[in-house]
Amino acid sequence: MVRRPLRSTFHQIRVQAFAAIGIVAAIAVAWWMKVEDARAPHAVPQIALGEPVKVGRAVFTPQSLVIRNAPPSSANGSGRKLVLAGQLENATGESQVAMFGFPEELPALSSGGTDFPAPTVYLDRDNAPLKQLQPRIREAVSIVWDVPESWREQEVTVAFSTQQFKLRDNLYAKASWLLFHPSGTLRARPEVEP
Amino acid sequence: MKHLAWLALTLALFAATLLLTEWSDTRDLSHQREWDIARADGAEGELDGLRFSVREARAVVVASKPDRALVLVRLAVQGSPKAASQWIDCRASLRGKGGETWLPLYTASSSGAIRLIAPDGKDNGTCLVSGVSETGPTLSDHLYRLPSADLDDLTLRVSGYGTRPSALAFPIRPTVRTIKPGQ
Amino acid sequence: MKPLASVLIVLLGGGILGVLMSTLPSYDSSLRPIAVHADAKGVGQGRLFAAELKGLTSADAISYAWAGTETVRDTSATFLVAELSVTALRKSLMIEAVWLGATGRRYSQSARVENAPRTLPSTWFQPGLHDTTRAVFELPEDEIPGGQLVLTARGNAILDSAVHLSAPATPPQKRDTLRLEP
Repeated sequence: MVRRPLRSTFHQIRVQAFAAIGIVAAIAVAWWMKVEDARAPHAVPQIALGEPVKVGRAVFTPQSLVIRNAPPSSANGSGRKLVLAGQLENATGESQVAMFGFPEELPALSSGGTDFPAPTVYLDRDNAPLKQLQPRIREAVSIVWDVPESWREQEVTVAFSTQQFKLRDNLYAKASWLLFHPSGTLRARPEVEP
Repeated sequence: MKHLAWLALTLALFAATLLLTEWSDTRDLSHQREWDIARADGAEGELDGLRFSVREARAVVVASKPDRALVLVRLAVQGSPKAASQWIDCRASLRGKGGETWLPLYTASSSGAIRLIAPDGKDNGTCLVSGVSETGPTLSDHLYRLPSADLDDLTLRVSGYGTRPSALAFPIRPTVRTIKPGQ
Repeated sequence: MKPLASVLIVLLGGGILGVLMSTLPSYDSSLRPIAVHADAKGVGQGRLFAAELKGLTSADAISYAWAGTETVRDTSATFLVAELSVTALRKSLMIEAVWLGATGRRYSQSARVENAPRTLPSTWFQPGLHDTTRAVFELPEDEIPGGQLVLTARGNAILDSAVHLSAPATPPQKRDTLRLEP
């Protein structure tokens, strides 16, 4: 095979420039995407009592934050309990057993530098742990944390995270629930219930 | 001619790929299905080192609902613990002549029903190969719920995860008793 | 001429690839249960079981006795109790039920009444025998008319048959409290 020589210098430059356009475009787009990413804010929104926040696979509207001495359901140990009560709604199209996502990520409470253990979620209607949530039915729930003895009454921060849903995921193009990302933070001072 | 040779080679390799990917699926399926049946005459039989015998086969029909029957089958198993560990578990089921399969009941009320039907009033529990010994038989009780019309041609199939697709089959002819409610 | 032809071929190839990618059925629509609807007599015949919807009842509250204690469950929506008659065809099996509401939402059986007597999650169906059980759902009232009860054998329901039983034309009478007896 004989390689045909190119006709003129101008033709040579034109061919090489044509080939280089792709590389230049890729570099420019990648750089622009990085700039856009850095410009977008990453701050997690602040939630006040009464505002809805996405939690796991549902929407939670916190209504009150109290410290209680008696637990909502009996026989669960003595000591103080921190109760975040509100309305939980299933915004998906089917009944959910994993309202707070799977693997479960319950709201995280932190105060005065100490982290609290994982809470239990109760359905106020039955005074029993919440097992299932039906779509279009809003239920009053209480998220209950055990308060350690050493903690004194002060401002608390509750961090909510939500699980991302993709209609076509990257692996099988099937509908699936993917990773968690933070959706809101509630900063409030709990009231003491007599 | 060269093209044909390449085509033949492609087909052969394709068939080999299919066989390789099917092999693990077929192995999984053979651990679940009972294809190779060893028929036992009478009430005694042996498979892969464990000796089974059918001690009791009783059926109870309630007079108010005569179309359904409760069948109790009591099995005794004896053998070496080594054979038992190769069996891994024990699964018993009743087969009808049309190929229907009835699995034993494990509900909360089946234990009470077993104690009512059993001649000695005891419930020996489900079929386990973990407590099998060479010295004495280990008893197990199984309760089945099936139509009364199928009581005359039943086969009991016993197999373990380690023995399937082989299974042991016993003909079962339960003695039928009709009880009136309130008894 | 030759570079133009090459570009055209590349564009045509890209177009065909785009059409193929956009018309590919999604994973969920390829691997899903095969819907079987009830026949004229109201019996839906799946691969492993046949089922018939005997009746629907709706109530504001459900009460039952379990282990000696009386339990009452109330709701802000409605409880729907579906009476079913099911027979297994080949092997003993258990069945799962989902209510496909009029808006298309899928309601699973209510976990709040899981200890109620003679409900679907605790019933084994045997070949040759017709057994009746109840499936209890908690849903908004407007999901009942135009909805369907979807039954599948317990276990993996992908590519197996799912029996669809439609709700009757007349909506069920609503009661205050429905007592579930064993």
